[in-house]
Amino acid sequence: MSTEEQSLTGEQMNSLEKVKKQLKQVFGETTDLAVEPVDVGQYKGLMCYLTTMTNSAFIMEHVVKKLAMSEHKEPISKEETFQQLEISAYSGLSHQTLQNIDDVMFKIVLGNAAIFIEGCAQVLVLDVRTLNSRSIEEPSTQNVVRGPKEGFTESADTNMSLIRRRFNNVKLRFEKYELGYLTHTAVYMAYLDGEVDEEILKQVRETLSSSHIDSLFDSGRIEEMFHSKGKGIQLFPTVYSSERPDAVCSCMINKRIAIIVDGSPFVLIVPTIFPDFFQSPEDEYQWVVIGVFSRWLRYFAFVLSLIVPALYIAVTSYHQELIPSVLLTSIAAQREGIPFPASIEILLMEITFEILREAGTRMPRLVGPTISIVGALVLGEATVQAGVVSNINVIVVSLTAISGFVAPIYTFGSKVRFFRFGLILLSSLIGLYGLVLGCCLLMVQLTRIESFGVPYMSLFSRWDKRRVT
Amino acid sequence: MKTCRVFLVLILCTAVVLGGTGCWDQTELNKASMVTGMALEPGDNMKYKVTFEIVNALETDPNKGGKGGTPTVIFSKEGNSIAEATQRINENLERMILISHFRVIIIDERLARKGINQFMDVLQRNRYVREDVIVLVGKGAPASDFLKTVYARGLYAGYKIQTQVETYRKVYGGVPRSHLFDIAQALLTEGRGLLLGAITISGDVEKSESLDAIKTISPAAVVKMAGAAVFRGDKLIGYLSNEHTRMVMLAGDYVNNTLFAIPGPGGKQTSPGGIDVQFYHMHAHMHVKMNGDKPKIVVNIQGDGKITSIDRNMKLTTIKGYETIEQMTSNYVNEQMQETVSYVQKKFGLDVFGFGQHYYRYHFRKFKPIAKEWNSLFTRADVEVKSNFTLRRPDLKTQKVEKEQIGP
Amino acid sequence: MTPSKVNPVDTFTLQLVFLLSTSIIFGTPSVVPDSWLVGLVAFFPACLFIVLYSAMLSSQHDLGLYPMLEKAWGKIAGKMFVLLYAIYFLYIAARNIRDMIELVMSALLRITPVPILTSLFIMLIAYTALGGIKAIARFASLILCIVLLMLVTLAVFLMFSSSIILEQMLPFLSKGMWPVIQSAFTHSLWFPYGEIIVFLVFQPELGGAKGFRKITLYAFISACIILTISDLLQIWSLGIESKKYSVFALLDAARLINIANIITRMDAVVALIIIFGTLLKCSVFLFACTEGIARIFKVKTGKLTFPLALVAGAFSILVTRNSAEHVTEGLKYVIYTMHIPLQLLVPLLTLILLRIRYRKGAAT
Repeated sequence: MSTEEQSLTGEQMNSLEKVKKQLKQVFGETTDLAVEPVDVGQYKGLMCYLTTMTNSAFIMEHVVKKLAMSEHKEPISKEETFQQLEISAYSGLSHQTLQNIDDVMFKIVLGNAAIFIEGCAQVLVLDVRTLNSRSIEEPSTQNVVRGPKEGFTESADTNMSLIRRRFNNVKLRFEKYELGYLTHTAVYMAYLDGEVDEEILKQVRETLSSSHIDSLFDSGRIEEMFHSKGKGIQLFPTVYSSERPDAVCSCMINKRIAIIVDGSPFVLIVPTIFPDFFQSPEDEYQWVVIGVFSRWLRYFAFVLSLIVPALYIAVTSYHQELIPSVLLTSIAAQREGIPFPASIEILLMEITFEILREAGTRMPRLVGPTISIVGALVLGEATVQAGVVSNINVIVVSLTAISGFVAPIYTFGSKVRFFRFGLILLSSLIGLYGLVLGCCLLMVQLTRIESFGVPYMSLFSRWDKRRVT
Repeated sequence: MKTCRVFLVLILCTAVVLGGTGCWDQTELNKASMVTGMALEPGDNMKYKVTFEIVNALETDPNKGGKGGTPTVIFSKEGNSIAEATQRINENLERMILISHFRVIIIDERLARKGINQFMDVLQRNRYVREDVIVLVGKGAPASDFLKTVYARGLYAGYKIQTQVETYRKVYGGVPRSHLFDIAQALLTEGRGLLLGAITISGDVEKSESLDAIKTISPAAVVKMAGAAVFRGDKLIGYLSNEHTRMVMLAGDYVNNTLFAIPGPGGKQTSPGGIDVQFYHMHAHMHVKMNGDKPKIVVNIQGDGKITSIDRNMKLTTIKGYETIEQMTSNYVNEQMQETVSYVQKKFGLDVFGFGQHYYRYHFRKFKPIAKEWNSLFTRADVEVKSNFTLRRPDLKTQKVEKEQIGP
Repeated sequence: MTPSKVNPVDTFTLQLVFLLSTSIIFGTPSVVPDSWLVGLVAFFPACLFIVLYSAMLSSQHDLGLYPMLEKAWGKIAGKMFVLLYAIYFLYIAARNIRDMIELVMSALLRITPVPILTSLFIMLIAYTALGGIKAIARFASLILCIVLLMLVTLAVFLMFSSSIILEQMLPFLSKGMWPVIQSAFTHSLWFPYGEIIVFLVFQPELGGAKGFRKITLYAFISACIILTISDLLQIWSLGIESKKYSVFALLDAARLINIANIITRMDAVVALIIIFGTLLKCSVFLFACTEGIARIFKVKTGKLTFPLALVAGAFSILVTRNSAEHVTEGLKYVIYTMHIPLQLLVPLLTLILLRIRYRKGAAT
C-alpha cells in the first residue's frame, strides 16, 4: 500500500498519461469529468474539473483565458512557470498547490479545477465552483417542513450538479444514454460505484440501452418501461420517483441507482421496495420517535384508505353483529330513509370524490375555491340534508379520501386508491369474506412482485441482502 | 396480452357473480330492525310466546330528533318453539329483525319453573345471540310486561335493564352475573346451583306503555332488581333477596365493590349509631374439605375500603378506632354470611355458593364419589367465615362533627 | 449479495404459519379434558419426524422428496409414489379448504352458495402458488405478523373483559394421563406436525438438511408454544366443560370478549386468522402437488396450478356431505389410511432403501 502511495506523489507524478490513467481509475467513466489538454507556457499541461460543479463560461473566462495570457517569450523552467501562474494569473482566484494526488482528486470533487504540468510534481488547484444560474425551486409534490427546500428542475445538468454537490465522493458515477430515435433525450444513470449491486446495474444498463422508443419527454415513460419489465401483473408501483435531491441521495447511499432524464424534474430510483413509498426524507431530519411514528401513521392511513369503505359496507350490510350496539343504533338511525343500499351509496360518493379530485388537479388555479365550495357545501352538506346519502357515509368517504393522500409519494397514492373500488365490489358481494380475500390478494401481490430481482416486500430481511435472481 | 387476459378473466368472474343472484347475505340496515330485548312466556295457544322489543331507529337518533314516536315497538308471536316464533314474527312486522344486538332475555316465572333447559339450546347455538346477553327471570309479572315500560331517558327497555343490572352489580353486588354463557357454565359444572338475576316491576304497566308516562317526574312503572332466582337443575325453585344474593356472590368472589351498613349498638338493624363502610377491593377464597361425611367449609373474605359514615362518637385519629370498626365490620359480615348460608341450607338445600364446584376443581378424586349427594351434604355443612378487612382512610373528617362539651 | 436460497427467517415463518394455520382452531381434540397438554405431549414424538426427514435429506445431498422417491424405488414405483404424494397433498389442501369454508359458513355467512366461496378462494390459492415457494415464504412472514398480532389482541381483550379465569382449567387430569397421550399419538402428532413432510419437496430451495433440522425444530417449538397458549386461552375463558361442546372453541372464546360494550364480538378476527392461515397452507400443498404432477407428466408447473386448484376446490365440496362426516373422516380414516402410511411408513422405508442402495453403491 505504502509503496503505491509513494508512487502517486512526488517526482513520480510527472507523466500526463499517467495522470489521465489515475483520473480514469478514480473517477471511472463518469460523464461529468472534463479532462482537457492545455498549453501552460511552453509546456504541455492538463486541466481537469467536474462539469457538474462549475459552468463552462466561468472556466473560459477565469481559467482558460488567463492561461492563454501567461505565455512567455524566453524559456523558463517548469517551477518558474508554475510560480508565474500562481502569482500573476490566478491571484484573484482561491488557489492551492498540492502534491498528493489523492488530495487533488478530492479537491476536484469539491468543485475545483486542477492544472497539471507535464513532469511537474506540483498541481495547481483552483476553486472554480460556481452556483448555477438556474433558479431552483421548492418541489411541488413532495413538501417538507424541516429539510432542504431544493427541488430538481427540468435540466438534467442542474439535476446532476444538485446530486454531485451532495456527494463529495469520487465514487459517484454518471453514465449517459441517449433514448428516443427522434428526440435523442439524454438519460443519465447515477450511482455510487462499489456500493451498488453489479447485477442490478447490468439489468438497468441493458434496459436503458435496449429500449425502443421514439420519444421521451418525462421520466414517467422510463418508469413504465422498468415497471413493465417485471413478470406478471404488478399492481403496485415498482419505481420510486422523487423531486427532492436529498431523498435521491439518501437512496443512493442505500445502494440504489438514480435515473435522471433531461426534461423531467422527477428522478427515478431503482430498485424500489414497498417501504420506500412510506418514507419521507423528513423522517431522517427529526427526532427518531417522530419519524417512526409518522411512518407507522402512513402505513395505517394506507390501510385505512384501502379498506374503510369496504369494511363499512361489509359490517353494515352483512355483519351487523360486529358493530357495538350503540353505534349500530346511531348508524341505523342515519340510514333510515336513505333510498340506496350502503354499497351503492358509498360507490356514488367515492366516484363523486374522484371527479372532484380530478377537477381539482386539472383546473386553472383561479377556479380552485369555486370547486372546493361546490364540493364541500353543495355535495357534502346538501346530499346529507336531502337525505340522499347518510352522514356516516360522508364521514367514511372523507376519511378514506384524506388517508389516501397521506402517502408521501403522490403516484403511489393515486395508483393504490383504485384498489379500494375492487374491495368495495368484493365486500358488497360477499361481505367480510370478500374483503379478506381481496386484502389477501393484495398481500400476495405485494410479496410476489420483484423490482430488478429484489423482492418488493419482505419483512425479515434487508433489501440488499435478499436479491433472489 | 397476458395482463389483458387476466383482466378479462376477472371481469368474467365478476359478471358471473353479478349475473347470479348476488349479494346473498346482504341485510340492509334500512330494511332491517334491531331487536334489543326478548321475553319468553308460555303461550296461550302454543308452547311459547316470544316478545321482541324492536328499535324504531329514527326515534333514537338524538340529532334528528325523530317524530315524537316511541323509541321501540313491542311485537309478540306464539310458536311451538322459540325459533319458530322468531321466524314467524314477520307475520306482524314488515322488516327483517337483527337479533344479534339484544341485551336481555327475560324468562317468565311460569316457564322457569318448568325448566329452562328445554329452550336454552336455540339461544346457545345461534351465533347471532351474544354470549353476554343477560338472562333474567321476571318475578311477579308476565315477562313481556318488562319490555313495555317506557323510560324517561328515551332508552329502550332492554338497554335500560341491561345497564341497570350491570351498574347494580358493580356498585352493590346484589344480583348474580347471569350472562347466557354463565348458564351454560353453571349447568355444565358440578357442585353449583344455577342463579339467575331476578327483576320485578312496581307500578302500573298499562300506563307505562304510553309515551305520556315519561312526561311525569315519577315513572308510572319501574323495573327493579329482585335478587336472584334459584334453580335446582334447570327448574326455578325460589328467590333470594338482594341482601342474600350479595352474600352468596361475595362468597364466590364475584363482588368487588359494596357497602355494609353496620347497625348501632342495640342489636337491631334499625338501632341508632350505625356505621357505614365502603369496600372497593373485595376478595373471597373458599376452602372445602370433608370432615368424615360432613363438609367443612372455610370462607375467607378480604377487603380494602374506607369509612363512609359514623353516626356515633368514635375517634379515627387513633389506630384503635380503626381496629374497632374493622372488628365490627368483620363480625357483621361473618354474621350475615352465616345467616345467608343457613338460610340457603334450610330453604333450598342447594349449593348455590359453588363450594361443591370448588371441591370438584381442587379435589377431583375425593369429589367424584360424592358428586351425586353433594347437595344433601351441603345442607349439613359447617361453614366458617373468616374475614379480614382493612380500612384505609376516613374520607374528610376525623370523627363525627359534634360540639365538644365544655366544662364539667 | 449472491443469489441466495430463501431467507432462513422466511422459511421459519413459513413453517410456523403452516403449522399454526388450521390447527389453531381445529387442531387439538376437545374430547380430552386437558386438551392443552395434548399439544405439549405430541411435540416430543413429533421431533422424531425431524430426525427422520432430515436423515432422508442428508443421505441424498438435499434432494427434494420427489427425486428422492424415484431414486429409492426405481423409475416406475417411484413415479407411483410421487403421484400418490401429489394426490395426498391435494387431498389435504381440499380438506383445509373445506375446514375454512365450514368456519366461514358458520361464523360469517349463511346463504351465499359454497361453490362461489370456494371458487374465489381457490383462485387466490392458485395465484399464491404460482409465485413459487420464495414468494409464498415472504407472504408467510406477513401473515405470521398479522396472525400473531390478532392472537395477542384476542388474549389481551379476553383479559380486559375479565373472561380469563385460571380456575377453569381445573380439575387437572381428571381422567388421567392416558387419554391425553392417546389423543396426542392418534391425532396431534399427524396433524399438524406430520404434515411438515410437504416441505421435503422444496427443501433444496429452503436450505437443505442442515437448515431443515434447525429451522423446523424452531418452528415446531414455537408452534407448540403458540398452540398451547391458544388452547389454554380457550380453556381459561370457556372452561373445560363448555369447550367440549363447541365446534370452534377459539371462535367461542372470542365471542366472550366484551370491553365496556364497545369492543364486542371478536369472532370475525378468528375467522380472519383462519382464512389467512388456510390460504397459506393450501397454497403450499397446491404448489407441492403441482411440482409432483409436473414431474410425472413432464408439463410446466405453471400450467397445472389453476386446473389442480379447481380439482381441490371441487374435492372440498364433494368429499363429504356434512360437517360430522367431514370431521369423522378427518379424525379417524385419514389418519390411519393416509397420514400414518405417508408421513411415517413410506418415508421410513424410503430412508432404509436409500441407505441400503447407497451403501451398495459405495461398495462397488
